[in-house]
Amino acid sequence: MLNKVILIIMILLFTGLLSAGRSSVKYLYVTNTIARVHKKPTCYSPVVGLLKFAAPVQVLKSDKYWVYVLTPKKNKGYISKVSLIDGRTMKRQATDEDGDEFREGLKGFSEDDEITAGAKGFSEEDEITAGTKGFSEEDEVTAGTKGFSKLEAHQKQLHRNYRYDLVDIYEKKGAVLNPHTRFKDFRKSGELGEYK
Amino acid sequence: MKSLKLIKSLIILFCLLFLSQSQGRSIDIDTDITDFGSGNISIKEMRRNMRRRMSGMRRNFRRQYRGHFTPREEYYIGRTISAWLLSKYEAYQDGERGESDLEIYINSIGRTLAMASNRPETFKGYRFIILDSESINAYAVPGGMIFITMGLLDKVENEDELAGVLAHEVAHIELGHPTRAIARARRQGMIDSIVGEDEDTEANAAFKALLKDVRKNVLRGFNRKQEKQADLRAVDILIKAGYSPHGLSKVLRRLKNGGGVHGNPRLRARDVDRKIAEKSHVPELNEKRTERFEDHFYEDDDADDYGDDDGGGGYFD
Repeated sequence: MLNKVILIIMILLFTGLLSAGRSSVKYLYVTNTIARVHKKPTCYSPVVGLLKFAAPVQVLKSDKYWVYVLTPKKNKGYISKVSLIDGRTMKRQATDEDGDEFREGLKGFSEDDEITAGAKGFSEEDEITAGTKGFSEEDEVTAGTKGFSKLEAHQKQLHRNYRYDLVDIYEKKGAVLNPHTRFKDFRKSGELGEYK
Repeated sequence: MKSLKLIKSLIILFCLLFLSQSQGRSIDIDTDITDFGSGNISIKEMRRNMRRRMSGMRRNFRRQYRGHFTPREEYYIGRTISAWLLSKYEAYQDGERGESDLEIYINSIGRTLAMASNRPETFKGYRFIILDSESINAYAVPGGMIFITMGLLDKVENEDELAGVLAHEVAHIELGHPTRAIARARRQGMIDSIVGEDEDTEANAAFKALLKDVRKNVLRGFNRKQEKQADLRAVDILIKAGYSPHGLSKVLRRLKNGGGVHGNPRLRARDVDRKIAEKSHVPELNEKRTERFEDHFYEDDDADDYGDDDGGGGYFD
């Protein structure tokens, strides 16, 4: 009888600890150089904000491909799941050999690194200005790669004949901060995306 | 005695959970903990066993998540592959000269398709680069750089067909094919050698050897199963973007005698058509898109510079 009571107490303690261990608030981190926050869970919807690499976001709900998030500036919108990484993997990267670089990326993030087009409600005008306040297309190439110059130099040294210089050029000239706005006319004239 | 064992087991389980929580990690406990309780063992032995189990679990855990490349790691693999491709093939236009109309046009199609995929963003975004090569091929490089040869562009006759080719490559990126073929056990060595800063010649040699795996996939094409997966996924991407998926099967049929296509293109086209037949709504070919395609590919003024006389396409030999 006593054993049974002990067993029940242990199980209760165990389940209690298990539920206490689970945080009710879940955070994910931006893993690409730039993450676009969309009004709706589709890339063919206006971009209402941009987040730089390592920005933390609070998960409000999620489905298979999109996460509805609360950004550091308390704005809400949808981010593609592939642009986010969990805290565990974030920690892993921070403790790996390249941790210093990654930590630098983390330190580098501040609320100023987020731009919000839809702070006062989502409108087309806000969408057009997204990417012009504080962010530039250079950011798509450079954000999240601060401190990686050593690594890139190492790669170049390893493969001296490879054309890393051309890769850099193509990356720079192909940078698009807000594909939704940039290719809107293209989609419209071709009856594609939201105009199909 | 039996209940004592049970209590011991529970205490150990409790301790393990407490330890894992205190480290801020959630570890899947899949080991048979009840083994701990067997026999009369001292507290010291129990601790030692527990420590051993914990380190084993941590090791398994590290191995488990280390098997996957993060977008940043993928990017650095792709960066090297791209640099290698650009040293092997000449790009259609010297990168320093700014984007040509054709490059802007192809990037616009590619980006529109990427937006319709389930992987609309990569670490540094998608780039679509034209290679000045007569071979008929396209390469999807980890991280989102997609290369398409002049030879393949010469085979497409309208924007929807071109979109079909690009959607197939975007599908490879979405499905993670470029890095999937790297043996799981070899991945960590690859990551270490990519991100390692020191002059570790062993790691560098390992990286060079492993790079061949990716190169082989990128250059020779993926296996038949992966090609089929990419074809079928491309149909969904095309429909979502608003392109006619029939363009993809038409290009595949046209490539039946081409050398650079992986798998039997006629069979692949048949699979694509079957998939299209399952769809309730399929966008039709659009005149406006065909017109703008012709504006980019059949410019009379430039015909002498780029084109041939057999109607095969303005820009290409």
